[in-house]
Amino acid sequence: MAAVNLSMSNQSKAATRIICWNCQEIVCQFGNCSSCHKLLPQPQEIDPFTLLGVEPSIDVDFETLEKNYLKLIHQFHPDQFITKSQTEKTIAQSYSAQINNAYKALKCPFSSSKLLFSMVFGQALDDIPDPAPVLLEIFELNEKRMYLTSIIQAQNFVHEIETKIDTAVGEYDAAITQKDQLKAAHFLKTFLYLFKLHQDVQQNLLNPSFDQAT
Amino acid sequence: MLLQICEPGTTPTPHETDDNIAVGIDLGTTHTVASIMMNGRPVVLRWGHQSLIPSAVRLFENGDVAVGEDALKPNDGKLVLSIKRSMTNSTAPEATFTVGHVKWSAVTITAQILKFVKNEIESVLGRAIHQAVITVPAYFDDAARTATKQAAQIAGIHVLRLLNEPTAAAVAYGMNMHSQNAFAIYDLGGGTFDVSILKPSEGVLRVLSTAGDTQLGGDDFDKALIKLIEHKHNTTLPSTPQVKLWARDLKQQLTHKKTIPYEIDLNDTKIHGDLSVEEFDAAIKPLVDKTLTIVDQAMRDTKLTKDQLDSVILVGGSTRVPAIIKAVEAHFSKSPLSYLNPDEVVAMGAGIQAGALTHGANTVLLDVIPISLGLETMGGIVEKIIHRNTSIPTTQSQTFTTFVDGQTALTIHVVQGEREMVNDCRSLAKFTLRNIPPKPAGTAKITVTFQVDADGLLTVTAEEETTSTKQSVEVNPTFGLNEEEMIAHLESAMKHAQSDMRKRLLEEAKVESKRLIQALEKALSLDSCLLDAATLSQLQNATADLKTSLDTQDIDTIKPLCENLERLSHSFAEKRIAHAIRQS
Ligand SMILES: [Zn+2]
Repeated sequence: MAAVNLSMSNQSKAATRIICWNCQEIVCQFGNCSSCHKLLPQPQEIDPFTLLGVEPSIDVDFETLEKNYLKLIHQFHPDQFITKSQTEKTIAQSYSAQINNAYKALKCPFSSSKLLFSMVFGQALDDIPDPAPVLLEIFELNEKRMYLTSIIQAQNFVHEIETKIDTAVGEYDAAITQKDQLKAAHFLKTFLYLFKLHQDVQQNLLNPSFDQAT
Repeated sequence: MLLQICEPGTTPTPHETDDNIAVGIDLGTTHTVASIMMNGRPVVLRWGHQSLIPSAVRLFENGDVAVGEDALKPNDGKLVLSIKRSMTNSTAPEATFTVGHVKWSAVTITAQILKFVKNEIESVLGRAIHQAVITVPAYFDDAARTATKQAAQIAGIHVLRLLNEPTAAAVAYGMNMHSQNAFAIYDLGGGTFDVSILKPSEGVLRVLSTAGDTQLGGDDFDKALIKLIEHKHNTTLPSTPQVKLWARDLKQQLTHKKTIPYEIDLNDTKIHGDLSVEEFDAAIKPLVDKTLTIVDQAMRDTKLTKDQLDSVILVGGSTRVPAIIKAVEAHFSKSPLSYLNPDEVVAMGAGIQAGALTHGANTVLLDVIPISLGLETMGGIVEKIIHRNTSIPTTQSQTFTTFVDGQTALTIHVVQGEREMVNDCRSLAKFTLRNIPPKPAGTAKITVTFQVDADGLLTVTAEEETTSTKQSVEVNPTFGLNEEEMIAHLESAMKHAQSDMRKRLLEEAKVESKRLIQALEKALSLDSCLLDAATLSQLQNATADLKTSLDTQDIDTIKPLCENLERLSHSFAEKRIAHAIRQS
């Protein structure tokens, strides 16, 4: 029951009215028909943030994401409709695919931040060329990384990246508020690069082969 | 053969219609096991004291077939063992046999096992069984899943769900577990190996990752044992089912003895000697190591460390081998659990899930696609569309374009595998999208959509944007049986079941038609003023035609009329929505 309430509040804004395929009543397009309780086809155009009930942000609230995702998948998984009509089975199949895909998109900062960018500016991040300052910063850090010779140095490098990530996120959020597309693209690209670098260096820290290099 | 259940005389929840009852079947490489929910508990079906039906089939010259223990008795004809290993390549030469005048394939032989099991279940339950949850190795590819579903259909079983074996085992253990932490299932069966990492939370039992090998199992331990003995005596043993069964028996003795004597009659000589558990362990070490490499791959995909796992559960008869238990314990640094019978636990989970699907459940299983799915692009390179360990169901689309000016057709080649090149992956299907309007190269837009359902089965559609030229294939008709062969088998193997199926389709069409008529009449009573006279009478006529057709009991008459009315009512629905919006 809680799942329905949760989703209703998230989705009521987006829910349009449709005619129920089963009872022909005009109802709100979310979950089950309010009149005959059959599963309704779900809006396809709804964005993953709204679908999963999380604040659109570069820094997605993972706890809420996880909880809402599991609630929705529990409610709409095709296994819950095995004994129902073919129409409901088909709807459950496509809706749970939509839920799974939305979760996948938000779980990873790469895809979620790119998605947010295209939602705000109506243009894909990948269509915007890398601004020169970003490239310069990338080259510098890459070079620095090549000369890391000890674990201590690597750990310091990780801290440096983390500080840069915080700055990039702050600037990006500000750019979003100011609707400054170029600035947003700049800091988002910086963030994505730093994030990847952070992952790689940490992976190396866990890898014992790094020890032998010292 | 007498089939008996643990509690004689009890039938599962009396007064249920056949549609509400479903069994779980673990269709194993060496044994098949069935289970059903009774009074809220999974009960494994038994033959006297045995719950395992040998997955053995004997094919006779006159077309007769023997399955199970009867097939193992020394006899004429051809004995087929471990047919499941051929399901991943069910049309390969080694998976087809001609005996007498009958041509057999992995699918039709598997269907014989399922048919036999179905009959045995029905005789003990005293009622007909039409529905089942059937388990498959998690690492089964699309072709093998399709082949399994076809075999069930031939045997007259409607598959409610294909359930991955390690997930089924997790369900059985999950009944007694209340942890929210991740755990691993190490499932080594007769012919296949799977490992799955699962995490229960919020009423969802989620598979985080799975990995495996469909050609690695107890059978390979038997082969290693035969090789070992051949090496000791510098001889070659004939590769017959009898030798295979002999080796299997030696292997089983070694699970509880340090050294065992062996002897076997060859044509002119008799060889004999002693075999120690150390010798055997050394012989299977490469196989054991291979499973641990696969375990590491599954762990990597979850990004969890081994100490974040709550427990490791052993499933499958081959996990009785002491070397396996030791290796798993050392690898995970925790002693593995196996308190449920490793031969029966998969069937138990399937039985629980069969009950859950027909009666509702508190826990939903969220599984993953085990092997990446992709398309061939220029130069034989694979473009992955759905990556392994993606939660299912899922739908992914990718847009492609033409390569040559004026190109009007595009071949879509669907493959499954992790490698970069098409030749290193499994080819699932090839089809051609035609009637693309001629345009300069690179301007046509063709969207290919991969849709994977909860059984892990793939449907591929390709659509050209401007003309909406749409074509779809249900992968994979090329590797299982084609439709014609399927119908031929259905006709010969189960005339009754086929007519049952037609009856069911007819019933469904009638229900659907009645629903449509009722709904439309209601809508007309509310809003018929929105229609002009011509449209109104067109709708009324179509409704009347459909009503009359219901008496014909002929699905081929009813279906098109129903679809026609559905089409007509669509624009009426749009008018009603528009009207409602204006009103508000
Ligand atoms: Zn309704």
